Amino acid sequence: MSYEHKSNVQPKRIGMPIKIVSVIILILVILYLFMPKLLSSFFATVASPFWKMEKNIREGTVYISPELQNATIIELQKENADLKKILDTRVSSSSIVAYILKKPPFSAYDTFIIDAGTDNGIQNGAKVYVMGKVIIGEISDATAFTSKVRLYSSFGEKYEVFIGKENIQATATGRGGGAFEAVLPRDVKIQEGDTVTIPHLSTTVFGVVRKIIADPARAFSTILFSQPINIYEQKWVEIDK
Amino acid sequence: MKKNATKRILVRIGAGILMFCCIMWGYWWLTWCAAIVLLFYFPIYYEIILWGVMYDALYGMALPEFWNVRYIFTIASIALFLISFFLRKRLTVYDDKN
Repeated sequence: MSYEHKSNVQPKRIGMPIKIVSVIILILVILYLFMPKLLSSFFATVASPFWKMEKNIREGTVYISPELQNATIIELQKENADLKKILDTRVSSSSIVAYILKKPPFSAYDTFIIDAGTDNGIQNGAKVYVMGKVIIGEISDATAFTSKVRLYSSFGEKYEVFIGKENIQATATGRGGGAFEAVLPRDVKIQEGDTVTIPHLSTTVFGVVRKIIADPARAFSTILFSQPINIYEQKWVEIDK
Repeated sequence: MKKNATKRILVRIGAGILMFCCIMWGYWWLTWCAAIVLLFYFPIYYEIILWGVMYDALYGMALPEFWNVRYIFTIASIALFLISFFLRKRLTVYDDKN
């Protein structure tokens, strides 16, 4: 008795799973084209209580044991000091302080999710600061309760910046994790430690030059700079409305 | 028979809760490793598309890192589902009914 090899048996018609997936793809395409914010708003509303629950657990409002209560008090004192510091160095009186719910490496996208949204008056394009002076990104997608922050240092993002005392204009390219690079002619007068600013926002520090890679064989040098704070260590951000 | 069906549904719900928790609080690579494991564990795992859509809805953004495609995980989840579906037809370890 001989059996036909399984791989030689050709399916005669499209299976039900393929039909179902085709319908799903069609629905998704329609949703993404005509109501791009619908899914985002829906899932953000679903996720928001869970993320806030995580925040409450971190802040210790759920803990009972005395040891954990002591740890909670220390944590709250630290948080209180952080918030006072933010209040002292606010960008403007209309700015909003928001808690960072999610940050890399938990999400694959190099973005922050914060616990303030359109209900708090936040709009797309609003600038996001840390410690009142360091600009780290801008609001990209605001839903009712949460917002996504596009970090300037996300890999491949390009921005115009001024480098050094002589405000040399350059295009900075994000390299992820708060780091950037810019390519400039080799003979420009830039030193390690020089500050980097953004046009129109010259009072806010964007970065500090960390390293200059100059190869004598090349006419250009690569300026590596990073933001003066570790963006992944931050708990709070300030949004300038 | 009825007991088996109930058990299968409970396992599926449990896997769904696990995936939801991974998306909410887990590392992104852990989430997607779990999704791929479940894709091959269950006969037809439609839920992976839901997890892709949910992931992009929550975290997605058009970044140069991902070729400015905002729905990269949705596309990846559909591709994974289709790959697993056609792979099953080729692999003899799976039951014909699948």
